[in-house]
Amino acid sequence: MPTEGTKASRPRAGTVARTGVPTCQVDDNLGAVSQRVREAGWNACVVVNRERIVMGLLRAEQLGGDPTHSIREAMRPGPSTFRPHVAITEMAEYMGAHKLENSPVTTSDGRLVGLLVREDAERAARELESTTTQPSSK
Amino acid sequence: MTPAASACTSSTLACRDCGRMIDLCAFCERVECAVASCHVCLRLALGETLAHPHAHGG
Repeated sequence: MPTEGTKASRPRAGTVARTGVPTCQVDDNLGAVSQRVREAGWNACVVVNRERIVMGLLRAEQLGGDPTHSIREAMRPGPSTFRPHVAITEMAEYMGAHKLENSPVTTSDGRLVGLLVREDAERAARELESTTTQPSSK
Repeated sequence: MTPAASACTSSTLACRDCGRMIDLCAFCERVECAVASCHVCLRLALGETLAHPHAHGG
């Protein structure tokens, strides 16, 4: 999503979020999805519909549930989502305070942009802070 | 009121910013959260919306 202005180059939730997050649909089987997610090296999966609108979220707790259940039964429906333009410093601060490992980032109409991982957000926030607090060389 | 209805409407969590009683934290969606925020305060804090002045202010 293009932005402009003096702070346009600062990292935001949408630029730091991982776009390659695993996704699944509500009628999928939890056991098969959990295996696919683990093999891909993730501990979360976003439940989307055919238009990639976020329907729910599977974090580690839900992925470890009964493998015979459907995603519809296992997911956390209607998770809190965040817009791509939110400053990464605010997201990192909130995710740290709430001990939240990941947060879905969506457009205003609910379409998945990616999953913001806390360690990515905190790293980006630290890098931003170090670049903005460096003394001028002049 | 039935016990089930009572359970649905009772909330013991307060927004840390405005004190509004909420059922769960708008950020982490946990019922037990030491730094809980309501949806309104969270959207304001993250810059997703702006606080509007009173329509008849002044």
